[in-house]
Amino acid sequence: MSVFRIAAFFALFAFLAVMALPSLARADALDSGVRRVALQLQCPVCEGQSAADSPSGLAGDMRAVIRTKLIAGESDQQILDEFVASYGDSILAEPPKRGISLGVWLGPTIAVLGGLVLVGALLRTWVRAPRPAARATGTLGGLDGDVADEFRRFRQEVGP
Amino acid sequence: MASLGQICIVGAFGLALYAIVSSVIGVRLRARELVASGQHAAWAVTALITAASVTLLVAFAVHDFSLRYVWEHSSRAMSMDLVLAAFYSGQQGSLLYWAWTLSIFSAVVLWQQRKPGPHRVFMPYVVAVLMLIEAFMTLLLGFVATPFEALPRPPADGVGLNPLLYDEGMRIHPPMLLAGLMSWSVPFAFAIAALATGKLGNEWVALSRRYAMVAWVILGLGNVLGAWWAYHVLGWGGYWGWDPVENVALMPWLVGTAFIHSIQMQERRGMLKAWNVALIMIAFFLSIFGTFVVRSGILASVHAFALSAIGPYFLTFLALVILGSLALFFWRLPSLRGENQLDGLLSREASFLMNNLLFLGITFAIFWGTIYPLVAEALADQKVSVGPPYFKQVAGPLLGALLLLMGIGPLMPWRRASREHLLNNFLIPVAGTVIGLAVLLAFGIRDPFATLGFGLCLFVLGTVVQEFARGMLARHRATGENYVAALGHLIRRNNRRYGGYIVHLAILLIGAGAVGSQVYQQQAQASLAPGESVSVAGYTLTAGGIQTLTSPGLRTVQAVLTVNGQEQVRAEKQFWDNFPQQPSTKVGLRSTPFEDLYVVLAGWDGDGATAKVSLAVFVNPLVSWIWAGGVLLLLGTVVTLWPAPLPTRLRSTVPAAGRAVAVAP
Repeated sequence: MSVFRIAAFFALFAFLAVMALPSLARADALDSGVRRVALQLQCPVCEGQSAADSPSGLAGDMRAVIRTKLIAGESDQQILDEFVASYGDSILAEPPKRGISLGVWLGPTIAVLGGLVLVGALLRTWVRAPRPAARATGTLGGLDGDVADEFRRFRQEVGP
Repeated sequence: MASLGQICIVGAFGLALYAIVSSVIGVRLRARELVASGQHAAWAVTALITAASVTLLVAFAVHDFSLRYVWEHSSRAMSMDLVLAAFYSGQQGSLLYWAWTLSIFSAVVLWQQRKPGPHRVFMPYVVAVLMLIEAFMTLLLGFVATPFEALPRPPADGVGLNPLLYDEGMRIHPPMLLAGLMSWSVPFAFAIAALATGKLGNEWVALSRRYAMVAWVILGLGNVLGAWWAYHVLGWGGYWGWDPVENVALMPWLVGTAFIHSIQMQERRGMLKAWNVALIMIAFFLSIFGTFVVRSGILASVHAFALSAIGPYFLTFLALVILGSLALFFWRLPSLRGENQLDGLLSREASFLMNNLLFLGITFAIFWGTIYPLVAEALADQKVSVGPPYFKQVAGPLLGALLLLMGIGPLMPWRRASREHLLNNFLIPVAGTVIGLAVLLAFGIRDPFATLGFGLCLFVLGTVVQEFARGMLARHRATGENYVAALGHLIRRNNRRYGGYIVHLAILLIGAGAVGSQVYQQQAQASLAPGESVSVAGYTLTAGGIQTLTSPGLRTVQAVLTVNGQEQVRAEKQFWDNFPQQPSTKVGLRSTPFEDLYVVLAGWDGDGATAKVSLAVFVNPLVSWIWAGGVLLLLGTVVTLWPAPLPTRLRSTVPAAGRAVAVAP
C-alpha cells in the first residue's frame, strides 16, 4: 500500500515533467541562432574557447559567416557540416560519435557501466556474507545492542 | 637577495632529505632521538621555506628587478597588494607558494600531534611523506625553476602582471586553489603512514578526517572563486567553461568528496578499509597532476601562461609516487580486508557505495575528456577537441543522479530500511517536491531539463528541512527549550551531522544556480549610437558613448549605459601600457538575488559622448545563488569541524564497532 503511494507520487511527478515538454519549442531571434550555432564550434586559433565566446578576429568572422548562412535559410546542421568540411571534426565543440572521437564517449560509458556491475556484485556478496556473532553490549537492561545504541544516540541528540 | 633565497631553498631541500632518512631509520631502529631529530628537521624546513618566501615578498615590495621573476611579474605602476600577489602569479612563484603552504601545514600537523598518544606511531612516516613531497618541490625550486634567478643588469622597471590577473580575484583565487591542491598531501601522508605501520584500523581515518575536510573546503572555495573570477573577467557570460585547468582542479575535490563520505562506512561499520586508502591516494595523485597541469602548460587552456622544463620532473615524481604507493597498498592488501557485510540493499551502506560510484564516474569522465586530445594526438596523430557539450552530456546525468542520492542517502538508516521507515521519511519531501514543481509550473518553468533539475533540488531541500525540523521538534518536546534554542543545541551537539546537511544545502544552491543560468540565460548583441537602446528580458539599456580614463600604466575605456532610464552600468576594456595587444574585460554587472544583468563592451567606433558602442548583453538567472552556495559551503564545513562539546567527545571515544545505527530522531 505504502509503496503504491510513493509510486503514485513519482508517477505524478513524471507526468508533470512530460507535460512541460511541448513548451520547449521557442522562437529564436537571429542573434540567439548565431549564438546557438557558434557555441557548437570551437575557435580554431584560441584553444579552449567556443566561436561564440572568443574575442578573436577569426571567431568574429565565423559568427559573421553563420549569420549570413542563417539568413540564407540554411539549417544549423548544414552550417555545422560545412565547417566540418573545411576544418575537420576538431572544429566541433562536441566530439562526434565516430572515428577516433568515439573513444572519448566510450571511456566513461564503459567505466560507469563496469562500476555498476562491480557495485552490484559487491552488494550481492555482502548481503550473503556470514553474520558476525552477536555483540554482547547489553547496556540498557537486556536490549539488543543495536537498539541500545540507537536509544543512547537519540538521548544524546535530543537530551538536555 | 637572490643568493639568500637560493641558499634557503637548497638548505630546505637538504634538510627535507635528512628528515626523511632520519624519520624512517629512526622508527625502524626504534631510535627515538633520530625520530625527534627528523621532526626538528621538518620544523627547520618550514623556517627555511618561510625565509625564502619572505625574501621573495620583500624583493617584490622593494621592486628589486635584479630578480628575473620580480621583473617579469611586477612593475612600479602596480598597487602594493597586487605587487605582493604577483608572488604566486608565475610558475616559479606559485610552486614556491605551494611548497610554503605545505611546510606550514606540516608544522601545524607536527604541533597538533605533539602530545604523546597512540597517534604517535604514525608521525615518523607522516613526517617522511610530507618531507618527500617537500623535497621534490624544493628540488624543482632550487635547481629547475628557481624564482631567484638574477638578471645581470637590473632594468629600471618591470614587465608587470598579465592583464587578466589585474583583478581582486587575483588576491584570493590562486592562493586558495593552490593551497587546496597542496593540502591533500596531509591525509595522504596519514594513509601512507597507516600502510607503513600496518595500523589500518580507524585511527588514521579519525586523524585525517579533519585534514581532509580542511583540504576539501579550501579546494572547493578555490574552485568557486575561480568560477566567480572567470564570470566577471573573461566576459563570455559564464562561470565554468570545462577548461582543462578548471577540470584538473575539480577532480581531486570530487574524489575527496567521495572519501569524506566513504570513511563513514569504515568508522561506523568497519567496511571499505582498502577502498578508503585507495581513494585518498587517488585524490592526492590528482592534486599533484592538477598542480602539474596548472603550472606546466601541457594542456591548451586559458590559464596556460608558460611552457617550461618542469614537465618531465613532475611526471617522473608522479610515476614514482604512484608506483611506491601501489606497492605499499598491495603489500598490505591482505590486512585491509573490511568487515564487509550488509543487511539490505535499501540502506545507508548501499547509498554510500552508489555515492562513490557516481563521484568516481564523474571524475573519470572529466579526466578522460581532459586528456583525450593528448591521447588521440599521441596514438593516432589526430586532432580532437573535447568541448563543454561533452562534459555537460556525460557529467550532467551523473550529477543529477548524485543530487537524487543526496536526498535519499541521508534518510536511509544504516543496515536496512523498513517499508514504514521509507514512507515515514519520503512522504513529506516527495509531496513537497510535487507542490513546489506545480508552483514553478505556474510561474512558467516548462523546460524539461529545468523541471528535472529544480525538482531534484526541491526534493533534497525537502529532506534536509525535514531532518532539521524533526530534530528540533524532538528536542523541543524532550527539553522544553524554545524552537530557536532547540535548533541551536541540536546543531551544536550533532555538529558533524547537521554541518553536513548545511553543506548539502550549499550544494543545492550551487546546483539550482547552475540549472537556472544554464537553461534561462538570455543574450543579445547590439551596436548602439548614443541614445539608442537594446532590450533584453525586461531590461532596456540606453547607450551614452564612451569615457576614457587614464591612470599610470593603464587606459580604461568605459561604456556608460543607462538601465531602464535610471541606474547606470559601466562595461570596461582595460589597456595596460605593457600589454597593449591584450586588452582585458571588466564586465558591467548589476546583480539581484534572482538574476544578473551582465554587459560586455565588445568594441566601439568614435570617441567620447558621440561614440557608437558594440555590446554583448546577457541576463543570467540565479548566478548569485552559486556564490551564496560558496559562502554556505564554508559555513557548513566550519560547523562540521567545530570541536564537539564534552559529552559528545566522550561518546566519540566509544569504539566504532559498538556504535550506533543512525535514525531520524
